Amino acid sequence: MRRQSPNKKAKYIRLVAKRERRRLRRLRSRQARQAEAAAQISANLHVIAAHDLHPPSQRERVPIILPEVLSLRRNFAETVTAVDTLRKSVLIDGRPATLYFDEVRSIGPGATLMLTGEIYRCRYLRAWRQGFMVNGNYPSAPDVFFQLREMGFYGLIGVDDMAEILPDDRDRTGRPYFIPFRTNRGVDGEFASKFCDMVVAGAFDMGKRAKRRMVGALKEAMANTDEHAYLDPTGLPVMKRRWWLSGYVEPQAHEMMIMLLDQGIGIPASLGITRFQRIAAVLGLAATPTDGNIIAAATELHRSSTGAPGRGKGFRDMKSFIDECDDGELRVLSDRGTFRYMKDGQMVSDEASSIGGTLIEWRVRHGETVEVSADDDEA
Amino acid sequence: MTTKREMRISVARDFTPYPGPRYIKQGPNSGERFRKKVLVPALEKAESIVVDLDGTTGFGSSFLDEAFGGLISVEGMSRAEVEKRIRIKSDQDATYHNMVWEAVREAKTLATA
Repeated sequence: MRRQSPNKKAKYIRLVAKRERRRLRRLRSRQARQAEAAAQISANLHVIAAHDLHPPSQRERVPIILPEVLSLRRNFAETVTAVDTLRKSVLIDGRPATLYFDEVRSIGPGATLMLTGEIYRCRYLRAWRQGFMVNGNYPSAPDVFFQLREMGFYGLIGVDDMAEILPDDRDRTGRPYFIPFRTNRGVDGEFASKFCDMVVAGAFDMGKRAKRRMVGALKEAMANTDEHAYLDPTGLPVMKRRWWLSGYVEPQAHEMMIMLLDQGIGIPASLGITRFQRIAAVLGLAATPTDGNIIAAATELHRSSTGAPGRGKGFRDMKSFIDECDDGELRVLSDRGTFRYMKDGQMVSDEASSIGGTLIEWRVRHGETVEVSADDDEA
Repeated sequence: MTTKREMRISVARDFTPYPGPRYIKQGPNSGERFRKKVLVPALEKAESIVVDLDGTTGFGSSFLDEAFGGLISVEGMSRAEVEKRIRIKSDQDATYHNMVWEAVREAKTLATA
């Protein structure tokens, strides 16, 4: 047997020691990860037990218990927190999540679209080895169940919509309903026209000129998403240029709402404080650069008066459309700011948390045939 | 090459009843495409053109901005030339007429853009 030199022997001992240290480091790291996962699962089970709910099928899933009122209008803080938890769990931590609808008793159209957009993003940008990154259960409240089905929600979370075994026998004439959500990028004039037809059909009659204005305003809103919403990074993975669109109709009230959502940087960031101050000075608006005030300025944008290139007049068209109808509201939520325009005035406010993008809610109510005047936009 | 005195273009008939966004990259039937495929060739063939905006499902301001303002800012025509050679027919909604001329007025020429 060959004898090793003392140098070679020492080198070999050092190598073995190094390998052992590395093995122990890996072992400790694995144990730490397992302990963290066990703690997370334990915390998840505590949350589920506290709400007396069934545990998720896979224990790694983060349970997200949606609030009783899922609405950006009536329960902003809890609604945004729930969506934010989903966003952070899946997109940042890479952990799958389960949405619990057990406690939800009512849903708002805007909040539902926001949740839908978030699930869509999680599903397409994060993969999980054992199925959908986000799944969920059925709501126990029948109205919520059917509203989510109308919106095409269940397919997104990988559960059957039970259309065949549970038909919706409720009388449609007397109750509000959702238009299934659509998502796309860019602007498609034909789609915009057909979508407006679909939403308005259940609410009121509309003259040809009014319809052209409505379609034009929707196309401008889509174009603004395409051109401005995803200009800079948001800190989260995004599906660039993408928007989500849905509608809500209340036939008895002769009312309809069109909602458009994006997950971009928000109007306050895309407009910027410098440009806001220039616009505010020209238009004589409040000069404090809060998110709400910046959104208000953006809805007044008019290239000739502000020198802002590439901005359409979609918001202006939406506002003038509301002016021609019995009642209506343009509500723009972007980042932390909220802007509301009604026939008799407008309001701005700022919330504590961001919605993580921009949501436009354009609601119009009218008893008779809507027609707009031809010269309301004279230069 | 002989040029016609006047040529009539209908957006709905000669391009699309569903006008789209500003730029080609944003989607089908854009203002940029209308300018390149319809307006500019028509201006090469005729001394003056009448553009009929009726019959579509509605314009966004950015379509008209790019189609007509782009004649100045991209194609290099002068404002006076555009005003002299183009007439707009928009009987169904006079607002579009105003939007076109506003876009032409506000367009930056190639030299100043």
